[in-house]
Amino acid sequence: MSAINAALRPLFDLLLAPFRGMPAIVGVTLFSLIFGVVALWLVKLTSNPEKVDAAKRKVAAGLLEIRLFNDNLGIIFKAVGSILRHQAAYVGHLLVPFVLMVLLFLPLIAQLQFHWGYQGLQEGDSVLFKVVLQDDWQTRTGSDGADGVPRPSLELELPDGLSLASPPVWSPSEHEMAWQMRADAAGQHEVGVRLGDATHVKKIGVTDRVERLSPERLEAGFTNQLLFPAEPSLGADSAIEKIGLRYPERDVWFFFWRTHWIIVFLVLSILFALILRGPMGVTI
Amino acid sequence: MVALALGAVAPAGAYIGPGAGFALVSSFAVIFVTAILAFIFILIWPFRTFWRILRHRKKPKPLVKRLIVVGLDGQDPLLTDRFMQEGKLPNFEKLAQQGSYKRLRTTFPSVSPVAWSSFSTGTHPAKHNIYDFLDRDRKTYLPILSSTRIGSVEKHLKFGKYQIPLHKPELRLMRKSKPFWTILGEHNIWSTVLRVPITFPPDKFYGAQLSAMCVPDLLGSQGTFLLYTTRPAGERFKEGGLRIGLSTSNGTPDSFESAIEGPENPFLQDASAMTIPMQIELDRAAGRARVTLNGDVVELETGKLSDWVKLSFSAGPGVKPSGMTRMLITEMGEHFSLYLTPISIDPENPAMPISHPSYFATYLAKKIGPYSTLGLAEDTWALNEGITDDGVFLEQTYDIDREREEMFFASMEKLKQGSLVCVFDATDRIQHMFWRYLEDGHPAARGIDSPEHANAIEKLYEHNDALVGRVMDKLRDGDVLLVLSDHGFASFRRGVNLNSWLHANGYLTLKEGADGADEWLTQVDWSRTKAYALGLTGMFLNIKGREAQGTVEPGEEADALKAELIERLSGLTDEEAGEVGITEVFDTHKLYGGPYIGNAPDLLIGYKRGYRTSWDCATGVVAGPVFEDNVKAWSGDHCVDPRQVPGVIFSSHAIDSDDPALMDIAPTALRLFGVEPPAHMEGVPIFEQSSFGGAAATKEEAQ
Repeated sequence: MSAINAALRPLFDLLLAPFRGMPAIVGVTLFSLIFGVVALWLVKLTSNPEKVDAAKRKVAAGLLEIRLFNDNLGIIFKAVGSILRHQAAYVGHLLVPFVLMVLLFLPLIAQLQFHWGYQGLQEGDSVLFKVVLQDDWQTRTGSDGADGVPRPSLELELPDGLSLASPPVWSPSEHEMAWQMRADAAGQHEVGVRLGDATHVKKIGVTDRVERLSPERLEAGFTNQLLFPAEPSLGADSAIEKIGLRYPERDVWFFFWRTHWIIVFLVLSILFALILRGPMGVTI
Repeated sequence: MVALALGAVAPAGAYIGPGAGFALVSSFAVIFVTAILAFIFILIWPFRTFWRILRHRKKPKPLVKRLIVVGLDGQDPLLTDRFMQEGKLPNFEKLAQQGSYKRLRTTFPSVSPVAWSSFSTGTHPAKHNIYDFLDRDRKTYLPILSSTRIGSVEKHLKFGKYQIPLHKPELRLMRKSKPFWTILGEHNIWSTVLRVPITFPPDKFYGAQLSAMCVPDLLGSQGTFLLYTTRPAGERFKEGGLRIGLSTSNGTPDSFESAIEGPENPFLQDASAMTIPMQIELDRAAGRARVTLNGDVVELETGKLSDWVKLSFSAGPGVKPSGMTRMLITEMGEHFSLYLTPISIDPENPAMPISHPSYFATYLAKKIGPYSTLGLAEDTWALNEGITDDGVFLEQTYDIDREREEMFFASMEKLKQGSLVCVFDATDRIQHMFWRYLEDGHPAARGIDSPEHANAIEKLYEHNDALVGRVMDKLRDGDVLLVLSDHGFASFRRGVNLNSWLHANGYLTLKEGADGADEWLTQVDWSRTKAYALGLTGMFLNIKGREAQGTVEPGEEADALKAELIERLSGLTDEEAGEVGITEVFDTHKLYGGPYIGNAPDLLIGYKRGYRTSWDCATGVVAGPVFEDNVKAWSGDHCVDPRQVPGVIFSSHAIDSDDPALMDIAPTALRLFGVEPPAHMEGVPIFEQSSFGGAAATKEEAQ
């Protein structure tokens, strides 16, 4: 997964570069169209249109049957059973493209989420920067802490453009160290987090443009890389579990509706697919 | 609904693409709609039931639970007897032994639209107003459909070359009197009526109905086939076909561009036709063609009839009248020809009201798949014109029969109580087209040695027998099954041109210099004409005050003329064949009476078996001989003296009537459900009430 993400990150940076200065809805619309087309193509390639159509027809027949024979409870109940059976068959006939879409689209959607899902920090913003350690961080680092109280010797290396607004606060029960950080200048900054001999870098975006933003850099793991692909993982033997900060969430305007981009993406890609299924000759 | 579904989707990570999105959203939608519909109908069911009980406090006491009527249009008693004696119809035999088998008197005339109208209303034509396929316009003397008036839109809102129709065109069923399913419905008894002739536009009653005979194709005609061909234009088709020349495109002999012409665009003032561009690419070596329509590709193989191909025309945004056709490459040698069946109205999205309720046609299409909706669905004209062959015609006919059977059994399964009537047309169509092989020396079989489908009619009767067997297997306790035909069948060897006879004998006069070769009596000098023949069995007097240019005074003069014509035409001899061509001519006013007798032909011609109105006479041509050989594939007919072509009736319950008639079925249906037949019905029930012993027939009786 790490290798795939390593390839996808620059690819999506490149693909989305033309949209950086534009409202997010522009990119969302274009990618909805592309995903709609690809999805239709997948359905065309991997499903049986006759069976899909037959299932749809039977469902429609069942609905009309309820209307037609509305004096006959027996027929109504049978029709309901038939509808549910054929709807299950319909979903079943689309299972292969369904699975393929999950496999193909989830990593791609995850990439898009870190471009369109968050807003960058603005100059003057303060944000809580947190480092969470593993449960066994002491064993991994060989540190007992000062005065018998366990406390990691975590240090930050701040670039120009970022500064600390307060000393760190250590929460022993959470194994979490937190700093109040201030954004002084725009840019994609790299903060060094040093624990013992190891140093990890966390990117922080101070920008008002649509760019890749990573709220968390996580320990190694398939799921972590699948869902948080915006930065490489921390490494399997790292004593740090997570380095993160909270970016404000970005909503997009869709006509008179302000909502999460994924909702707009879902609606638009379904609409595009609906429009294009005829010309593409796809039964869905 | 979509919003509801979206609300259930957690934004990040939950989305997996439009395909899955469709499945997810539509599944939510379907389950939601199903639940709501079921909930609503279950909720209101007690109230509806209570309301029905309240409205029909005098509930009739039915003798049966279900009445199943299978109509086999044109099944002939003589052939039925013959095949039964040969042991080829075991299920008919079984049904006859368990109940009854009798001749069924048909109507005057013995023509399907008349006969089935009497079947459904229990009356003579003078009360239901249908006398033939065709009637005449009294002003112009031109033929019009007798059963349906399809009007045009008179008021429009006009913008430049565009217009918006301000009302729907008039669409009226001309059949009068109430059919028995309407009366049953008034007593809260459900009926499903499938493809019974003369039900377009459909009746509105408590039940469901799919229209039949006289439902037009998408072009508004009664069935216009299309032939795209590279052959040079020849004579135009006389019966319901259009020839469209093909010319090559792209400079290659294997590529053609043309268009399928649909109905007129109602939004254009010039009423130009909507079209679908059609590209044809031939692979001559493989004998195949690729036809592209609106981006959809249809692969065709020479001699093989395609499945239904949907044709969606565009009249404007969101207005897309939709039809269906089947395609066949009839030749791919020096010349290429592509045949298209008449464009049926798409039942899934009907452009005209072809069912009651309106969504019943859609329901059937969803249930069983696409099916032919055209009134006369089997393309007899294409076979008559030699465009298709016997094999293709049989394939088409049996495919339509299969569609019918599927909708019949689907409806039978849903019928808990009430009546189900379905008419199967294959018997009529196949006998019309294959009678020439049934007897020696038929003029239409000249030059055809050892035809491949010589026993098509025998196979047809066996096919019907198998159908009856399947129906009997599905009967339940309390069912009565009637299998019947509207008339029998006879040979059609010789055609009689009565207009030619009238002309030769001074009753019909042509305009100066006219030769009478033009169709639809357009060369007749009406001011000097006393009588004319129109339709398949009728003859009209040119009555003053009735016809626009009438010459015969009503009353004594008309009666005298009628008597004279009856005397001269009854027993009219075909000198060439040495046979009598007309057994008797009937005065309709003496046959029956009723409020619509004024619309009846004045005389009905009772042809002898073997004779019928000639093709020329049927199309209003005066020229030519009075008697001539019929050499068309349409070689059997029933438009003869009705006494010579009774139908058949098989019943799972013993018939009490000695001489049952088709007209008796409507009052019988009412009686079976405990409804007293209304006084205006002339038919009488064929079962005695006492024969049911107060209880319905059991399945054991029927088995």
